[in-house]
Amino acid sequence: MFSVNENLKAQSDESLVVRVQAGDSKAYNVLVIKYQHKVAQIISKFVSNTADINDIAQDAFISAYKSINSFRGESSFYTWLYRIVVNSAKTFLKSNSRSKNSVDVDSPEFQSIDEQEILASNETPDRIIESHELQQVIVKALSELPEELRNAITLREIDGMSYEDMAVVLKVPVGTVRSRIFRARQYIESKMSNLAAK
Amino acid sequence: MLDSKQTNKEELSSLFDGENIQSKEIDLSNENKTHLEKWSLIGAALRNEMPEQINLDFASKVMTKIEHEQINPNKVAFNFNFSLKKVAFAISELAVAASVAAITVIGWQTYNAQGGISNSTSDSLGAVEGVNLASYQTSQNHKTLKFAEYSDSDNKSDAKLSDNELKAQQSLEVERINNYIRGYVLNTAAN
Repeated sequence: MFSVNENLKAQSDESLVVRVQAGDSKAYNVLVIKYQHKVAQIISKFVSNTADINDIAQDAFISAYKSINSFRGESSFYTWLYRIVVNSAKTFLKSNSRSKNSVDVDSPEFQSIDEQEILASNETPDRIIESHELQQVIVKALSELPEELRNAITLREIDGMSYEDMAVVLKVPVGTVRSRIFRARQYIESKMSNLAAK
Repeated sequence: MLDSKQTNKEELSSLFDGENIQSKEIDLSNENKTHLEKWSLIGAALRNEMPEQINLDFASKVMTKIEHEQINPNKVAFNFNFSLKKVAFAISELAVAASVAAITVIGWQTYNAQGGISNSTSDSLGAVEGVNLASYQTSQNHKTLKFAEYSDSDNKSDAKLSDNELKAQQSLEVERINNYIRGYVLNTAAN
């Protein structure tokens, strides 16, 4: 599999963050979609249960949203988010270790759970898929791409290069870089569409 | 040539990469969300960052919670403690700089003043040799001026003070000056 050079990752999310800070929650939706898997992977180093991973990730994304105005761009958005995720995971572990041996189902905490809320959450079971098969499909699709598209998507996703830097490296205009990345994504996406959620 | 739908998708793709596309409002239709989800999976797969199980509804759940619970970003509060620390640090830096400057000035004055005083007092003053009396200015030490008089009047006959008394007073004065300078230097260094 590909190695990831973290030092070269200079993914700029500034424009999205600025939109969020200006009150555009859709921009935050894009950031959540973008980093959800990365965040889940970080949390999986602390806990193994999928439900716990999702809970912690959700808490972390909501904490990050609440404090988005304190993000001043001194580090990348991912670095800033990473700290929040790790803190959320540690908080979860602490509270979990405290309550592990002293769960009282008659406590007011349990009585206050809204039954409607439980019913609502069960109405639409999450669509969960196993990643192994999906990863094979994506890697195979990448290998089928023409070289120019493969280089573009690789430089972007693996090396984390900006469009401007890629334009310099590939000696093409930024518009061409944008187009190549999009076409590469379109092709790989078309190969993913047969995957059915369990 | 790309049609407008394709162009919009291409813009969405670059927006997803955080490239500064100054486009109008972000179009997050279900179709576009599906594209973004898949592009996110592509990136995670290529970077080998995929968790074992993938929840395809995760992002929409987070956004639903934000919307339903009316969660808004907090306003950034002025961090008083942080600012206070910064000010205190700046003041302490200033104090250190002032102390260093004072020591430098005293040293420089001392160095420059060595000739004049030492010549006239070298026989009797010993350790005080080279001290610039301009820096010896406290009101308690009014005898400072007399010190010079004593030095100058060494050769004159004084009906009231014998030579021994004069020398004793001079020694006392020298002692006082030395103590003062020692104390001043120690105080400055302590600051």
